[in-house]
Amino acid sequence: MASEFYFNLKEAAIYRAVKWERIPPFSFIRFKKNLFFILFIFTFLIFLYSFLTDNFSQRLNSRFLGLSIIFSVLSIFLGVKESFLNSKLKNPRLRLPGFGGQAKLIDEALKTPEKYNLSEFLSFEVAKAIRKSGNSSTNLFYYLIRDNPELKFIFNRTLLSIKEIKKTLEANLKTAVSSEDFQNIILESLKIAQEKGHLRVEVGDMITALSKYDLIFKKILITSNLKVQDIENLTWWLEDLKERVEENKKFWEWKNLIKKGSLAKEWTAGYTINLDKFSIDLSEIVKKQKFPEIIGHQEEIGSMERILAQREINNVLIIGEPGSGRKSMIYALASKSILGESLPEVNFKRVVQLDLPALLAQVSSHEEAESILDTIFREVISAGNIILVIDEFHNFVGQELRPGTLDISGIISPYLALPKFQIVAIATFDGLHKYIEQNPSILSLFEKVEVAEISERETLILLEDLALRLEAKYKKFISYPALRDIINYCAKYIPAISFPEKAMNLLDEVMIYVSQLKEKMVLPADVAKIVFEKTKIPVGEIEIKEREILLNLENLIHQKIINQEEAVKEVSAALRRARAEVTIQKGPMGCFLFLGPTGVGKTETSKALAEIYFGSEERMITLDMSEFQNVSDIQRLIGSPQEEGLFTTQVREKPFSLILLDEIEKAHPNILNLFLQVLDEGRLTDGLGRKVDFKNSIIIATSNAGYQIILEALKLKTEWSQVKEKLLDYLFEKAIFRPEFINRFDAVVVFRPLTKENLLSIAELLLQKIKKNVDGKDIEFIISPALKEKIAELSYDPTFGAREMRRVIQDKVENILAHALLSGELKRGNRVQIDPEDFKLKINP
Amino acid sequence: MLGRTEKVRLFIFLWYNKKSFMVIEISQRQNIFFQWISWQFFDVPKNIFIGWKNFLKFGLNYFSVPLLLKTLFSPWRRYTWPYPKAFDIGKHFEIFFSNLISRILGFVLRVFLIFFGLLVEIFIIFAGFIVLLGWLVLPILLIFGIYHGFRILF
Repeated sequence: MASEFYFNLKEAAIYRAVKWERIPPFSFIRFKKNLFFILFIFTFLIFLYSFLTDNFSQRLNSRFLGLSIIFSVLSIFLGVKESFLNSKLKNPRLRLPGFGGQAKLIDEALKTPEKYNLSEFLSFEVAKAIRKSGNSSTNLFYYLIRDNPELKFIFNRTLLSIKEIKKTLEANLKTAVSSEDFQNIILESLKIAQEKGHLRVEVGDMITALSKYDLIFKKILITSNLKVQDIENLTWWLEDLKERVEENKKFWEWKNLIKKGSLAKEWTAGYTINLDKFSIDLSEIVKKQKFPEIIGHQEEIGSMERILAQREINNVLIIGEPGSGRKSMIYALASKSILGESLPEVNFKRVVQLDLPALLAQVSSHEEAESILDTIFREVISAGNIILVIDEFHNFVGQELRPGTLDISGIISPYLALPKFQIVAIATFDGLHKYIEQNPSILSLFEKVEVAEISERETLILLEDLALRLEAKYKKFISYPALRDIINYCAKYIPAISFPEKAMNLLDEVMIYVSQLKEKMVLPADVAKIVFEKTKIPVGEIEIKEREILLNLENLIHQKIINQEEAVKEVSAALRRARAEVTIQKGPMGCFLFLGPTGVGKTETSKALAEIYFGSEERMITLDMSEFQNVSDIQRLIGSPQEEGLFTTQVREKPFSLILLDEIEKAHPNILNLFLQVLDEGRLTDGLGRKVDFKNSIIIATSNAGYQIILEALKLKTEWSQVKEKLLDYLFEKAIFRPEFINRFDAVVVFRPLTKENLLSIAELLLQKIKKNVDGKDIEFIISPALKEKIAELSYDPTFGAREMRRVIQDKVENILAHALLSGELKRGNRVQIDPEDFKLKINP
Repeated sequence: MLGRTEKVRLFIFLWYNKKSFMVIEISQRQNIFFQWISWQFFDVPKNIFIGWKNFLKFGLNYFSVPLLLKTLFSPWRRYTWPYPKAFDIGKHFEIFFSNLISRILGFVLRVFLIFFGLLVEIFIIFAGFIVLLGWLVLPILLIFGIYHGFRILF
């Protein structure tokens, strides 16, 4: 490896700049320039004063003039020299003879690193730090953060103290030697620079590379719960900000000049008096906001522009979920149009959103509304520079006519066919299927652009942008971990709304919350608090508690479930495997098939799991699969344009739940096939084409198919390990489940029928619950062993398990207690017992 | 003994391998003075030219001169009146004159703006020329400044 790596800083062109910067003509150049400038101002003001007032002698006066000329010349000279140093000397031109420009040189160097002196690819700051570091990564890290104050941005955002880091590094400074990883660090930094399209390794690239290899940096990251990815994101943020500031400074660049617009482009267009009354000029908004950067959906924006530029059908129908950034695509269009960055048919046009609700609010009849709309559409054509936008288009097409609604399909369709009429309509998938598809003639005049939600990374970029604006507004500091958690929590716990809107709204809410608390900083705990308030999922806590729960799962379940040792063990082990990510988990958190006779605790185990793992029994979605015995029931399950899916909607709204599929064997085989994908991939597409994610759910299917085998085995006292095999053989033989279905479960768990001893314990468990309830009324309920035995005896039935017991307890205990409480027979402070023989109360026995 | 062909092959082999072990030079080591010359008289003037061009283009775009020339005789804000279908000479003339007025109005306003635009362009040409010239003679100006300053001082 060593022979394949050539790194000699002293031979590199950039090294000369590092040297020059330290020698007198260039050292402290900025300071000297500023000093001379101040001296010039000072001497010139004195000269001006004496020149105007004649207070000094002429000789003195001319001396001040001479000094001010000399100082001004020196200040200009040093300014020019500084500019020469920064723009020319610090950026030596790299060129491969016969190869062309600098852009792809770094690619070539990475292909054959042994052929190049890799130090040629360092930027000035990085070369300077490496010169001082003596090829030690820790020293390099120290000098980079010491000499580049802008890196404070990265460490402040991550809530790390740069002073502390410097101290730690200083302690290691002398002992640090040339590190073995140095070669890896250089190669990694080159790769990062290449990925980002940099010509040289910038400070940010080197910091990211160091976060991957430097031991001290890695330790800092681990103790503060940060990852390399976070440092990458932050360097990206810093570089983006720097670049934007630099770009804005260059006022002479075409990109900045064109933003001033033009005086008379609109002179060629007609007036739109009626349209202006009922519309919002998005182009004006974009201009006022100074052309905000649009993140994501670049391909969709491109196809929207192409469709608008077509000669035949130039109407766009944008389809996407609310909050997926459809509106910002329109803003991007408006912005590109003003700046002339789009196609000629789209450039220099006004993007105007028709405000149909405002129109409806002002007219008294449908006829009036239609006549105004007709005038507006005529104006659009005669003006010649309008791209019309209609938001929530599905609300105005194919709707039943009621007050406050409008069906514009009749009035708009003749215009849609005209090439001079460019329109962008926005709709949801739901609206498309329900209303627009019912009107094929309208639909055929549009070309669809489907918009998916933007990625988590793009959302983070957007949040970073928004964070700066919100910081200015609320005068608070937003930490990076808070932003990162917003994205993570949104992805995990709020799947029903799309990115980026859910993340942006959450950030906004968190800011308001923090302002109420009068805190100065937005921390991850604040985000967890708001997510908890919104979803009632104890996030943050879960992540800390989960480890504890998983390690202790058996005991926790056994507090609620009697017997079923093997079952509980298997479920716990499978969950631990899945959550510790020992096995690669593509599907849900865990999926289990519980087999066994009725009343042995299959549902109870599920409930217990829901309560322990998700915090409440309410976090359980139960589906009685016997309701889905026909193929036609699939629609009920996953929804259709006409109805919401019974299953999918619940999971979309509460993804962090336990899904209980009761009596799964009773469902139609095709419905079981539908579950194959859920169990395997953890995804399902619902009847409206929306993706439903099961990655945060636990799925438990229960079935009592083949319970006879279990009962028989119990009679014959067969070895328990053989029972499962026999049972599965039976299920396959009778074609109740197919092997591929069974295979998809993390564990198939067979529940034992309950013994009399088990029933005694269950009776104890249930009676304890009653005891706890009457305790609240200051009455002591004594549970005698005889009572437990009697109840167990009354409710014992191997075929029905413990199901009978609840009824018996209700009948023989709860009813009697309730009667006594209401009649006043039982008072506060009493002790009470129930006689197991005749089930009568014994008060204060 | 190696034949002629083998010798050539060996030479090529050695030459090729030698080259693959060589480090390729990708930066030029120029004297700092020559670097300054190329920066002062080539790099920066090139950027000034680009900026100058941008400003000229911006001026034309801001006053929309090309577009105004293209639509010099178009009606003002697309105000036109359609001719009646029935033959009515009086009405025809009336509408003809209305449309003509719309066009004349458009023409006058456009010429006015084009005139302003061209004035600004001339100003930009002069300003750019001064900036460029100023930059090129800056070293001489600085030397002259120092000389003059010292002369006044003593």
